[in-house]
Amino acid sequence: MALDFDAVAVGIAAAVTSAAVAVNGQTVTATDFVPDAPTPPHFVVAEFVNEYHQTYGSAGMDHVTVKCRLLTSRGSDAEGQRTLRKLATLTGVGSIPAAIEAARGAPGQMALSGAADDLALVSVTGPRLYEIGAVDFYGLEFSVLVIG
Amino acid sequence: MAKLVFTNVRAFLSGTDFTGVSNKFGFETKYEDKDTTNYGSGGVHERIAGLVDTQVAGAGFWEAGTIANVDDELATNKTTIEPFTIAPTGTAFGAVTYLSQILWLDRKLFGSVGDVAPWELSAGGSWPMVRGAVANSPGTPITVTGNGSGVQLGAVAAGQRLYATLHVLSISGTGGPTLTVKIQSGTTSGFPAPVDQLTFSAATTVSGQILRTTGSAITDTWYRAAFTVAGSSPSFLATIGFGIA
Repeated sequence: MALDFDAVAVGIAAAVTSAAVAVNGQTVTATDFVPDAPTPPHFVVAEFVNEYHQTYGSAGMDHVTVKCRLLTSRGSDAEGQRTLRKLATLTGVGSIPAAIEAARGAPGQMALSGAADDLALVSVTGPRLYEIGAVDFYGLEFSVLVIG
Repeated sequence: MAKLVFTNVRAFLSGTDFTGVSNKFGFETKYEDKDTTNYGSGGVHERIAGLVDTQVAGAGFWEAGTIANVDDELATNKTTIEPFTIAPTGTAFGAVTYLSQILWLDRKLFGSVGDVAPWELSAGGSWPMVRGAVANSPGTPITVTGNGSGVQLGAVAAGQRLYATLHVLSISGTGGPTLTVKIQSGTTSGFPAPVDQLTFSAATTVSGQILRTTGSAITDTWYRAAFTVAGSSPSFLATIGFGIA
């Protein structure tokens, strides 16, 4: 199959929304795009890099790495950064990676509600500052591998 | 034909379409080098071709679940000589294809954490690797009894054979859907008096077959697939290839 990149982004955002992860008492808002004015804590699906033709066929397999960011208010400085580090863990309540990997489905089943064959978290970087619309946010950046 | 970036290579082993789960397929055909140099050779080597051997290698991404998946295919048909067809430019009707029957001899499954689960396969040929044409594309369902279009492969000389593969990739319908395929020859593209040259066993499951003629000459130059379909609302996706060697 060939991936519908928009459906992948929507699916990742939906997975985070479904997990209802809370940061300092506020539920994370998740969007499949980077809004002009994020409302922290805000999970956004950002850029992607795809490698086409990973298999034979007119619609050969895609191998896409999707960058996603979790943005928190800069006003929370030290506590905000500590919270982001806790959210980066691969498992447990409040884990963003766990929220995303929950969308893999059962072994052998399609991921992201049928939008992809499978996905896996590859890496996380941060916390660091991100400037969006002249406003700085602390954030983590997740790399998600999606195939299909 | 222009040079080609490999993207839409289609490969079939029995009833499994490897296209979407493979990213490498190739074969190597070698003749034994038999030296016949003698005192009359004028100081240069002379040689003839001996036995021919074909090796096939492939690789891709692992899937399991049904016989249409690579893992089930390789597990079910170990030690079984199977029909193999590869079409380097896709399976449009008449496209170049190579076909043979092969025995997979080595398989490698799985890899490192974080990899897309891989497979590798190497196999040996049990018949020649025959160059031919796609007689039926798997993109068009076979739903009614009828005839495919003709391909002018040429006459079959004495000692040569007509080879054909049938890969039944999916079956739907009720009442015991059955597909019987013949390869017919004719003197012209209109097939005024078609002659049955090869008849595959009736196919009722996802599966593959390969046949060849006896080695007698065939003066007809046109060939086609002919289908007989039975069942209620039957529909089959099948790849058929044929060639002369």
